[in-house]
Amino acid sequence: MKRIKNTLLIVLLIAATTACIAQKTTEIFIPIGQSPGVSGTETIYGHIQSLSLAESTCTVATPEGDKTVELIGDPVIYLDYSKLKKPNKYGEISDITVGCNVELKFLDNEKRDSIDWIKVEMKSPN
Amino acid sequence: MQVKNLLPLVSVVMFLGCAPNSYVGKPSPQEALVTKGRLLFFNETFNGNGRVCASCHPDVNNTVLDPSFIATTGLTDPLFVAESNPQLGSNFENPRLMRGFGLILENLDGFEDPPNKFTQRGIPHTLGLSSSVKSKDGPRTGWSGDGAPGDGSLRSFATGAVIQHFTKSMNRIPEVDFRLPTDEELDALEAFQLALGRQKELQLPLPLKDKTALRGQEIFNDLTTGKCFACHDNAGANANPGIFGAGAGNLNFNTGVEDLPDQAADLSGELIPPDDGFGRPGDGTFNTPSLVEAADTAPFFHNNSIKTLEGAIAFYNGDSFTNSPAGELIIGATGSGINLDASQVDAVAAFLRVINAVENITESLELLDRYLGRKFLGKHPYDRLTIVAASDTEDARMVLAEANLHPLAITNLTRASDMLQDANAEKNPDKKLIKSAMNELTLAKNALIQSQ
Repeated sequence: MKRIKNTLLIVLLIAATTACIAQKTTEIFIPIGQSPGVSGTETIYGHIQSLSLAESTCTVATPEGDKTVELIGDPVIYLDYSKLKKPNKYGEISDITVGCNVELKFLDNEKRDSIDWIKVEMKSPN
Repeated sequence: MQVKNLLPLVSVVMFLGCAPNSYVGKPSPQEALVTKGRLLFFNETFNGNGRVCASCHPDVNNTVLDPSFIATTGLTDPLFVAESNPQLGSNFENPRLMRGFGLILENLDGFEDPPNKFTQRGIPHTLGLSSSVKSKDGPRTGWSGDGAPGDGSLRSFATGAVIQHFTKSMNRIPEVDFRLPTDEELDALEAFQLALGRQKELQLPLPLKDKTALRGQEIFNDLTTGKCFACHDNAGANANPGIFGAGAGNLNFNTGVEDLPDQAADLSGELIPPDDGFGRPGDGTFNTPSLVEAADTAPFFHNNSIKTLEGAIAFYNGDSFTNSPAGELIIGATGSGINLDASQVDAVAAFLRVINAVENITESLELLDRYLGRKFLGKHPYDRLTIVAASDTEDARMVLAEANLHPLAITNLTRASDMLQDANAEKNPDKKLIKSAMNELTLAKNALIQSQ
C-alpha cells in the first residue's frame, strides 16, 4: 500500500502543476465585465491611461485608482465588438491604445503583476 | 351583489391560492433557488436557437443522450437545429454522429478552424455533482474537467454551454445570437444541478444480497484484481484518499480511451479529430466519472466508444488501458495491470448494476415521498416528481433485467413501474396507486440489499 501511495502521489504532484481548470476557448465571446466568477474579482476594468510597449507596461485608470501592470507572459488579447453587434476577435498588443476601455485578468490574483488576458472594447467596426 | 354570486369568484380565488407553485409553507431560500434553477434548466433558451439545458440533459433519460433516446425525440426538437437552421448547417454539429452515436460537437481547443478543429463528445450525466465536482486543484466540470469558462466553476459552466450550444449562428455574438445567463441565473442553475441525484457518497462495502454482486464488490475494492477503487472510491468519482491523499477529490487521468481500436464512430467514416482532453493544447487526460450512475447512463467514456457496461469494465483489460499513462501507473504501483476474466467482469458489472438499481429505487422513493407530502393542488408542470420516479423505477428494472439479476425484485419493479405509468396517465396521480408503487419499490430494495 505504501508503494502504491508513493507512486500515485508523485503522479498527483505532477498533475497538480496543471492547476488552471477553466477553459478559455469561449472567453472570447464573453463581453467585457461579464466573465463569470472572474470579472470584478480577478480582473480590473478601466481605460488605458498610458502605455509603454518598450517597457511592456500599461497603466489603467480604474475607479479604485491607477494600476500599472506588466504586459509580460504573452497575454491573450480579445477585441470586444459586442456593443457593435459584431463578432469578437483575437487581437495584438498593438490594438491597445491610450484611452480605450479594457478589462485585464491577472494570472495570479494575489500578486496582480502579470496578465492572463486583456479584453479591449472596440468602438469602430474596423 | 348577492353573496351567492360571489361564490364562483371565491372558489377561483381559493383555487389560485392553492394553485401549483404556491406552497402552504414558504419554501426556504435554497428550495426557491433550486426551483428557479429547475425552471431555467428545462425552459430557458437564452434567446438562442431554441435549445435548453435539458435538450442534452433530459431528466427522463438520466440527464444523458444516447442514440435510442435521441431516436424518440421529435424531428423538430431544437437538439437537431443543425438540420433545420442553415446558419448552423456547417461545423455546429454533425447530425450523423449525433443521431448514430449520441456525440455532440465541442470546440474545446478554439474556434479558429471550425471544419478541422473540434471534438466529438458524449453527454456526461449531471447526477451526483455535489460530490464529484471538487478537486484539490479546483472544480472539475465536463469530460476533461475544464468545461467551464471564467473561474472554471460549475456555476460558470452554463455561460460556456450557451455560447457553444445555444447560438443562432456561428458568429456567436452576445445579444444577437444568444444572451448570456445573469449572475442570478447562474446561481440558480448551479443550485439546481447540485440538487440532482445522489447527495452523498456510498460507504462500501454494502451488504448486498446477490452473491455475484457481492463478489464483484470485492474485486472492485481489491488491489490485486480490480483495483477500481483507487480512482473510484466508494464507486464514485473521487480518488481514494488512502492512496491519493485526503481531499484529492476528483482527478483527471489519461486511460488510453482515445487509443481504442475499431471504435464504431471512427468506422463511420465521419471526421473525428483526436481529443486531447484537459487544457489547450490538451494533456490527454479526462475526468473520472462516478460509477454509481454508470449502469443506466451508457454509452461510456468521453467519446461514447463503448456501448455496454461489461465492455466498459473489460476496457481495463486491454492494451489501450495497459499501455496508457494511467495503466503504467497502476502497473508501477501494484506490479501488474488489470486482468479480469470474463466471469470477473460480469461480477463487477453485477455489482455496479445492483448499486445503480438501489440508487434508482432510493431516488424514486424520495421523489414519491415528496409528491405525497406536497401541499399544493394539481400536477405542477415543472415539478416532475412522479414522472422522474417512474423513469428511475424503469431504469432499476432494466439494469437488473439486462443481466438477469434479482428476478423477484424485477417482478416488484415491473409492478411499481406499471403503477406509476398508470398514475402518470392521470391529471392528478392517485395517491393510493403511488403508495402501492412505493410498497413494491421497498420490497425490491429489500431484495437487493440488507437494510442498513
